[in-house]
Amino acid sequence: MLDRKNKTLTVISIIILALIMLPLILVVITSFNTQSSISLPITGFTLSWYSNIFQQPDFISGFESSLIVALIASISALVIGIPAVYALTRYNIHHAAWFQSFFLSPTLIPEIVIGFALYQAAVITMRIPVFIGLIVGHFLLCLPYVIRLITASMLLMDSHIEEAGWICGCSRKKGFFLIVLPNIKASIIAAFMMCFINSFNNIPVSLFMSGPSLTMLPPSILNYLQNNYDPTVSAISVLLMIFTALMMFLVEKAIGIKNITE
Amino acid sequence: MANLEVQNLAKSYDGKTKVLKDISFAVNNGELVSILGPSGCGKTTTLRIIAGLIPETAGQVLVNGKDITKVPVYKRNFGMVFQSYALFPHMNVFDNVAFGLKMRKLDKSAIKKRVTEMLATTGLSQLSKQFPAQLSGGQQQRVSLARALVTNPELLLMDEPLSNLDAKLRLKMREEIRDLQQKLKMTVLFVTHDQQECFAISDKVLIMKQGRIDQFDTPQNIFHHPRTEYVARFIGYDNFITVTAANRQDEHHIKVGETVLNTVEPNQDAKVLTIRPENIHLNLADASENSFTGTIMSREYLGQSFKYAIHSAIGDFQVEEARQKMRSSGEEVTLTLPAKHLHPLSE
Repeated sequence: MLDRKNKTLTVISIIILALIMLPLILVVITSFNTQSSISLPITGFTLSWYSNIFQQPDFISGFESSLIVALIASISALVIGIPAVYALTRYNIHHAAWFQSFFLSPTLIPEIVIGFALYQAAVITMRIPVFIGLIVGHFLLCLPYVIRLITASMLLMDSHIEEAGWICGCSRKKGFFLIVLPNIKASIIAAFMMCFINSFNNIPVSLFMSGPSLTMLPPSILNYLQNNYDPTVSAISVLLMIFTALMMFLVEKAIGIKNITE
Repeated sequence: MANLEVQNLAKSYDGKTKVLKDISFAVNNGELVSILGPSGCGKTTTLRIIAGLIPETAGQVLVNGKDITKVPVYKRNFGMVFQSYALFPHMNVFDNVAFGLKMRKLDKSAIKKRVTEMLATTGLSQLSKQFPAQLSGGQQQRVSLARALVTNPELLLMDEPLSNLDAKLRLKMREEIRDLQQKLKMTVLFVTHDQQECFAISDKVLIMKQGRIDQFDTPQNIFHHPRTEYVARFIGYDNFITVTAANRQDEHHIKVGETVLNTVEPNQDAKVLTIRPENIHLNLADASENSFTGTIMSREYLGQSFKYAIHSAIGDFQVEEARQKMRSSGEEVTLTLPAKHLHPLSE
């Protein structure tokens, strides 16, 4: 009985895994194709599409600005989100549930609407520089992840641990850094990962918030794809996958080490 | 160590319901005082106010005569042991114990010396590099104790420190705590809901009921002279005979039904008479005073003794009898309530 259940589970897992992996594998394969269109089967092996990536100034500058925006947005979401969660979970704040939903609300609004609204309000009406608008937009995308993940781990952490610190002679402010932060480190890193990946790969918001001197990587790829249907897109997709996987790996390793000592 | 004085402490979380009402008591230097009561009676709230973890609504906390009510928690120099131990999960045993000393900015070698000393006192020397998650409950408890004592606190607060341990370890730890307290002459305030535990280790016991102190005395005095029915029930007095002023005959005699009960203690304002189940005698050869008949309704085996539920004309009684031979239900017996064990209570 159990065996049959396990078998069914294995089959379903393989099917799902295949559905996820197959397109990615195809992208990897097509990125080495000698033909100048994204097609299968491939006719030969070349790395020229990879070198072509670095000939596209949009990709280079797009990568740079995407990286900068993702970093700033993720870090500011953490800097603002963590104290907010701390306050919501540790103090008796009136309407705490309302604030919680408020901070999570960006997930309810379609990203394209956030992008359009910001473009309309901030860039057109208030004449705020596009770059600032971009940061704000991405910050809004990131904040819910921070709130969700940090709230969960803050609630899991025994509040007496912090109190024990105060009794030992540690002020509240110091205790936050010496006791609270180290104990929610894993979820801070996880939240950072989620924020970074989501911001870095975001299209809807970035699409609106771009200007002549400022294009993010995903919209540049989209743009390139519209004009040239060649395997350069496959190649850059592969590089992005490697980049993301590498980050995951590094973070996983960092958290992994911590988990062993705990 | 120091002496603690609590004056007219009151607490309300919502401004309406009072969790604590007018709590006043003192703990002398080197004393171990327990706060005993069921959950929700306000014992932990009292402890947390004294620790400075939550603000009081009214009243003062004095240490060595100095009002510390407005002193923030981290400047109070107290030690505290939590029910969950609350060790810092990201630090090893040594760093957990050293934390308070680091906060006091002692130099490294002094910290090392003091922590090593403390770990030896609490039998933790072998475990200094371990992390809390790798320790057993008893070991975590010891680390928590070492962390609380390493700074030479003026007062040690313990919030149900033993309730997460298994029964055997609980007995051992409570002895260790008592020994350590005596050795270091610590002033300790100990919160518990376990009557046996607190009677075993305390110099004085403070029994709380719904935010008030019901009785504050030595364990012996509380055991032999409970002040109220609530206290009596809490410490194992199972038998209560309700009386009114009309029942009184004189200072020491109360007539209940057809039986006149004699008490050694004067019975003014008595509302209830109480007696422990093990103090009632059955079928005494010389059953003259305070005696009446009853019928055994049911029996319970307690190991060392039998406990009988007995029905009589003046009410139902729980009687514990240490005897090899058991009595059977339906048996008619004579109950004798010795005058010295029959306590009149005014509340």
